[in-house]
Amino acid sequence: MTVLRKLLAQRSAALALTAVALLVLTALAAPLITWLAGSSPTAFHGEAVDPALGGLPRGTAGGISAAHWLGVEPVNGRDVLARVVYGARVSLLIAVLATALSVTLGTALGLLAGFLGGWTDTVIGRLMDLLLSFPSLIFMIALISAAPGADRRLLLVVVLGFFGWPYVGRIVRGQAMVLARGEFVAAARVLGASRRTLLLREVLPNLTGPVLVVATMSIPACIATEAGLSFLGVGVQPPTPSWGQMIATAVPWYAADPAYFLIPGALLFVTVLAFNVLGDAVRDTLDPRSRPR
Amino acid sequence: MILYLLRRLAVTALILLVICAATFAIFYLMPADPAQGACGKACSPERLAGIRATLGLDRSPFAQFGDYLGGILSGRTYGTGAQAVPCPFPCLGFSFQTNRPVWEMLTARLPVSVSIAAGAAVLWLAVGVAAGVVSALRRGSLWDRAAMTAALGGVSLPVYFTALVLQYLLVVRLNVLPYPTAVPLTEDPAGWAQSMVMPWITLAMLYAGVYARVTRSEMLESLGQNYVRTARAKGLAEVTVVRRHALRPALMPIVTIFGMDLGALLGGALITESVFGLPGVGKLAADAIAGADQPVILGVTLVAACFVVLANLVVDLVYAVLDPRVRAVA
Repeated sequence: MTVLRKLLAQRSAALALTAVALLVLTALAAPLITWLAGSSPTAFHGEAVDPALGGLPRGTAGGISAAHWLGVEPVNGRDVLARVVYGARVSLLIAVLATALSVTLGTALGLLAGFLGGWTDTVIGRLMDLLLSFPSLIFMIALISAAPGADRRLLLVVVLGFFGWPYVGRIVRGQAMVLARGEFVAAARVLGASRRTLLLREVLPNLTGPVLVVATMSIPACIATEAGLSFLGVGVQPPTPSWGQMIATAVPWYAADPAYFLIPGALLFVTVLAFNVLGDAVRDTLDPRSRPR
Repeated sequence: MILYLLRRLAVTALILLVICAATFAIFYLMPADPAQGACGKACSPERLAGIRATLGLDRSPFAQFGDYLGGILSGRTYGTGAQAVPCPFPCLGFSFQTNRPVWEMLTARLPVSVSIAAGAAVLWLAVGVAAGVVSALRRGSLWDRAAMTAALGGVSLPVYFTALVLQYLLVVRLNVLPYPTAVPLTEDPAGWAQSMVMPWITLAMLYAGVYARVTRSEMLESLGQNYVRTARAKGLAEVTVVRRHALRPALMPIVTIFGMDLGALLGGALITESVFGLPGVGKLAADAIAGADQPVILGVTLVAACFVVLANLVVDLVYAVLDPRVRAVA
């Protein structure tokens, strides 16, 4: 817990941590928040939009009112607050699960490659090189559109995790290579420790720091990519809301109803920024080589 | 050097082949039938079978992959007799939705993507590297903190959000720019620049942040080296120390990420082009995905992968030229 205390001692990191905690809380409490605000993410509100203006929300700034705190969507009048809050749930869940997948895969394979060396290293190393040179965005789109029936959220987790692991694996491999030559490993080997014990008991615990750093950096990347894919129409499918998808539906309305893209866009920006600041702070705290600014 | 070059070329060719096979496999697994897509709404079973035969979809997956590779290397003809559709070298497939060879569609879109990528690259490289160098030299100063905060903000901005904000501010509100349209550079250079300014800024905001951060940390690292202290101790001018001894090694990692980023962008800035409605390769891909035009998606994926892989090759070669140790290791 010393890491947490060190993080909280830095103003920017403490701020970022607060923002992330608030976001997680919002996502968890989504049903409570919508109940308090008296709205639902899927209910249509025809009375809140003006059919004479092509379905533009009535009132100022995208129809912000006592009934709809952040306004409503054009045309069908769904409540923006409810959709944003439920969208946070979807985005965070996908990003966290995808990161868990890529970190697990990357750590396991990177550890094996770096520790065992030889042909294991060659095969895994080449595989990572190959995946890193893939145009991953187009590839993700191709993969996702190749399975129209599947659950998009699950598919997103798998695809993001699969294309994310080489970034983790590359770092873990490098660290494991150095650690494998460490004296403590040699000592354990002399004491008769099995290869399994060496890997799991001696090398793996020393990788916690770098893995924690890449995991913190991977979450904002996953959020941004998920939003990007949803924006391109191959992410989360309506009526399930997602921030990227909301911005995509706001594109035709950007001139007439700017609030509609500004709200999810600003939230996405703040979220990714908070995670990035946090990732930087975690790295500065854990990596003695990078001095905190 | 020749041997190194040959080996790298062989590896590159192998990677491209694997990417090609993987992409092809994905599309083979696709439940959507490409023939159905090409056939349209009024589709009789006979016509469908005819199209399947024309596209070679009745053959085994391996034979189809062979046909595809053969087409890339030497061109091919779909169908026989009066209905034969020629697809000249390099045949990346034929889009029956638009009745054009994929290669022709791609090359028609390429100038727009290249314009976007090249302009944005110049902008982010200049801004990012300069900001990073100044930040490293004045570490801890107000400028450093402001620049690094801005860089972190830029890195966190989703491109479609930046794009929409820019378009809203500059076009709708302030009216200083026209709506972006594809204007060829050769016909109207001013109009070309005007329509490209927003995509350039959009992409540059993202990448300049990354480059400023990398440049700063690399510069700080090299400024702490003994050879920099030696250079200072022997009385070299500070400008020379910074340029020759500190910046040069710091630029090596920049070359690496620049190659990869530019390679990726040349294959189409999917989101940026879509938001601004610019008809580049990325927009082509987005439209093909929306319309399930599989030959086009396959072709774009392959060409985009080609750019990334070739950019990596160029980066490796530049490295080998700059640093003889790389040649020895490889």
